Amino acid sequence: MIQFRIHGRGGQGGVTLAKVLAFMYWTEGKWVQAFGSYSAERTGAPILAFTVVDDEPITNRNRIYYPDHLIILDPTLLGPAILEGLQPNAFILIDCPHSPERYVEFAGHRIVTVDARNIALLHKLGTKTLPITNTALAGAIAKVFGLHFSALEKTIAALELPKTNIEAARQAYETVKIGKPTPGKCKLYPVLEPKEPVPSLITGNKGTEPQLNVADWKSQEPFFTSERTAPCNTQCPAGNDVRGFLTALAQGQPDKALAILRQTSPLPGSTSRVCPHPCEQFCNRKEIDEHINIHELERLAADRGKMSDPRPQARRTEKIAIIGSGPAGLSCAYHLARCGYQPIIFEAQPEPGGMLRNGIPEYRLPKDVLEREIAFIKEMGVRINCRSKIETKGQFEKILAEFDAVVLALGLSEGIPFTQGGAHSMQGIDFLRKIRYGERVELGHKAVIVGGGNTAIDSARTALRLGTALVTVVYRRDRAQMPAIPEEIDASKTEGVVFKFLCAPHEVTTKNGKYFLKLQKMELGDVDSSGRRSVRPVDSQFEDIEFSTLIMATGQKAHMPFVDGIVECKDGLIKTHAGQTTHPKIFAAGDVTTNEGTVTHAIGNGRLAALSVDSYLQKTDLPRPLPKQMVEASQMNLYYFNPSPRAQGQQQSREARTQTFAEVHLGLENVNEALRCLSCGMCNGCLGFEKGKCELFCPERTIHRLTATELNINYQGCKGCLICMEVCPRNAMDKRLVQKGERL
Amino acid sequence: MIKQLCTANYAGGWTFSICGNANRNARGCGAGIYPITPQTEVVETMVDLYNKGLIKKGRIFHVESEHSALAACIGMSMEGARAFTATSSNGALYMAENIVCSALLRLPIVMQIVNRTLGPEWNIWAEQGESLLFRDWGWIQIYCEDNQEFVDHILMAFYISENHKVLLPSMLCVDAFILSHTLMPVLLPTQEEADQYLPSLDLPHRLKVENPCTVGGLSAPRITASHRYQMEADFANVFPVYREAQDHFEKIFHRRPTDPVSGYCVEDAEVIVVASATVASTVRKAVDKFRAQGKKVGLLKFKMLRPFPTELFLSVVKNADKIAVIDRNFALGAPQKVGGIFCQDIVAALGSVASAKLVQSYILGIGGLDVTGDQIDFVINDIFSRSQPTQSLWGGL
Repeated sequence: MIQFRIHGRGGQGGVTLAKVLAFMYWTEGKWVQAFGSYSAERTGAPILAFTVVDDEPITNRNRIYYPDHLIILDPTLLGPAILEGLQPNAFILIDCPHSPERYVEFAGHRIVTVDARNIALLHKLGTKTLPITNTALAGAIAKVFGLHFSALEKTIAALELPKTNIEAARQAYETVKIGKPTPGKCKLYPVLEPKEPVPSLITGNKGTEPQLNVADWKSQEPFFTSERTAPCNTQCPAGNDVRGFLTALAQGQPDKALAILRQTSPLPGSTSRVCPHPCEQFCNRKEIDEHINIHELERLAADRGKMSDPRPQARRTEKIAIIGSGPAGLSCAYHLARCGYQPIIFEAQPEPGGMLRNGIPEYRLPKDVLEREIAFIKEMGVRINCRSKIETKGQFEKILAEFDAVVLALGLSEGIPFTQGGAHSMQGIDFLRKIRYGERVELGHKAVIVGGGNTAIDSARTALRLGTALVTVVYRRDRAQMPAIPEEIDASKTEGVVFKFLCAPHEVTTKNGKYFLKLQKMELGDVDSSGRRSVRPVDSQFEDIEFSTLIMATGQKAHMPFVDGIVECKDGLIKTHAGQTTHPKIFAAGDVTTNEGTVTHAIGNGRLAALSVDSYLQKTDLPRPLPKQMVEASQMNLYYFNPSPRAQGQQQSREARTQTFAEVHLGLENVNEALRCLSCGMCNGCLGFEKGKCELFCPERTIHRLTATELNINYQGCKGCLICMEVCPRNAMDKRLVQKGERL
Repeated sequence: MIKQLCTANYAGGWTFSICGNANRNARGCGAGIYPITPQTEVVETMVDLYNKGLIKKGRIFHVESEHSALAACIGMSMEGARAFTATSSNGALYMAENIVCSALLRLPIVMQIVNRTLGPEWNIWAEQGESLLFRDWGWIQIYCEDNQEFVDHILMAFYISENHKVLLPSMLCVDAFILSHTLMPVLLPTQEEADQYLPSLDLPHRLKVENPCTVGGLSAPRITASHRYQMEADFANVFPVYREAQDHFEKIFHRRPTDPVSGYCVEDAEVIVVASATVASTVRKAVDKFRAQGKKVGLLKFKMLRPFPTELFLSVVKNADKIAVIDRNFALGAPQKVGGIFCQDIVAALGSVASAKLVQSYILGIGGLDVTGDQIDFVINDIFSRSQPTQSLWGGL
């Protein structure tokens, strides 16, 4: 009697091979039996098949426990387990391109190798990815066991298989490599642990049920990925981990949330109040109800979170000068301090903060919030020299000689000149700064502000708070084209600001001691290179508007006469590449390089300059994080989330807002809003649910909760079905191939 | 006969189709089919042969459930067609209503059951739970030892069931995978042989346009009771018709199918091991081994459970002192905790004789556990040394 045991994977045709062998011997006049060891019939799962050959009728009704020979369809299955019960001096036929000598570990047996896979590919049997090798293997077996090739020809004809099988079988018959018997004992014999018997009245039984170790089958497995990002994270100009801090807040950990924010930004308290929050614009939660109130949650984290000890261990001695203490300069200094430097900031104004202090009114950003955050930066070892205006080339060259690196964070501090109107006309940027420094400014009863940006709106709302009866904003495009933050425009309207759109200032006239601004009517044209629609004058249509004060807020420019000939500029901005100017020692950040015009962009820009300075000084490469894949709503399972209304912080009443400079927004009362965050693309342990969805659906129960925000996969039990990946509400799982051996 | 290497499922698909086609000169044949592991290859084979034009008069209905599969068979059988189907495990449970209906309507339908463990939990391996669930509702039940026996009994089953003295359906049981998916040499009948063996079906109560009637309508208690009594009376006719079928089979195929129960080394046996289906093969090998050691042990292969061949059984075991009954099934909560169903029947069959013989129940192979030679050895050693019967003894846990 000969008993063959075949080891293969579901889909490889192992059971068919058992049948082909049986037919082959049957054709030779033997009694045969062939069967598979059936379990869940799944592609890729290890399967067993058996062929029994005898001279007498076979009445075996059992699995084969003591095979004489093995046939291995997939070499990745080679291991101690396949040797279970194998009789000594067995043939082990392996489908592989190697020579038998490769398999030294099977001493005591005779290795036979045949490249059946490539033979099958050559004869186009099966598909390229799954060649059907059983007739080629049968050819090899015929050779090894001394069967006449005609037996195989008859078998292939009897099974009505295509003629190419005969060619493949013949090639295998001729090319099979039979190894010499090697002396010694196989080292791989498994140590079979006796099974713990269930208390039973009949003893002496082997555990004989089919093996169901599902983890062995897998060719792939899931994992929680950290390679995907959320729209909020990709949109944040400062590079904040929005998703991360929201998850921390949702767990009720404002300190942790603040620490996450402070990894990228030194000014979360300020940006939460003044940033136009592009993070909210593409929030995936919009597909369910409304976007998350991210900016007010950031404010809550900044206002309530306790800052950890800010002092970094100073370890860098290089001297760095930063010119300008606006958001870009502060951010750059902060990140340099985090790297261990002790930079010095030169600030022209009496107080640090740049536009944060001079350009943004108190009712949007209270002074104490800004001062708290600047004090923190100072504690980290940053020195800020105020009233240190750099005006001349000589001063600048002295700094350049004294410091190892210089960062220009000058901002755009000057308005576009407008000479008409005399004492009744002023620049918005100057107006706002004067008010911030407590100077008295007489506006009269009719203020006209020209411009559509945030300076215009801030000036208008400040004018109202100073008691001006009529405040009008004149803008040459229409509302939709205004660059100012939309919420700010709405708030100014609520407070009583009047808007005149599609009007451009033409000239200032006087009549009877009154001042008038002649406005040229405009109309919208095509979209221009800035993405906004262009405007053109409508012929001979003019209008006069009376003013007591005219405030010009039509844009700002940099004041930097001292850099001429040292760094290259273009269109009034400093040219940079990754924060570095054309002068290797000089770096630049913020509006003076980009004119992006928001505090958050300046913070992100300042960080980039800091990294650039560090890599310049340490002569290292600038870290370039790989772009992450952004998760869109369509890739998520949003039906798991119930709609819940967006929380909105309280505001001062309209009356209060026009009379004082008290902060308009009062902030959120609690962190509940953070629980609405979907944590797109990042596992948060299905925070707020008792079980993770993957945990709930895993058919093998291999996923378990570690903490409120973490789940763990036990890969010993995971069969790689990837149901977890499919059901993940937030698309936070990915799959990877599992390769145990030389090929799959 | 065609000598072929095939699985029980292929053999079933072939033989059912050949037997069905043998009725082509009468009302034809038909099957209602619905696949279930491990029966699927049977219906696949039927469809394949049907598509190749093997069946000259008949139809195969692809239906949406097992319940409908047998319903289609009932309809065709009522019309006088030779009807057959196959199912397994929970599929048979879904068929339940029509399984009972087929017998009560006295329709000679033949059904293959691939014995598979009932779930949940899902288990696709061999156990006799589903066929034994339908033991008591008028079906002839045959448990096959190998693929050849299964093929032979398809022919026999149509012969017996369609006999006017019987007119009861037949259930042919094969162990999942151990037979259903195992390739072994089989002699398959040719069409000519099937035509010779099987007379055309002439169902006396078949529906006819010229004689309209209602079937299965409301019945008074006394009529139902009479019908049931008649069924039991006709069940007794199975034994002589079985012998007739054996004789006829031998004439045409030159082989004789074994009796409903058959002994092996039983004449002088002190101990007889009773086993059904594939376990009988393993026991036979163990008997040879023990006989070689001089131990007087024999095998009783239990093939036909219904109708229970009481006389035949008693004649086989009459000389034995002890009977070990191996069951691949278990009736929960049975008297004396003897849950082996064959064993319960055997104890009942022995009646007053039971007190003189020791009968011990052994439960092996539940849920598809491999019933190994080691286990049979244990059973034989245990029964030899046993002086008192006890509750069912379980093996392989």
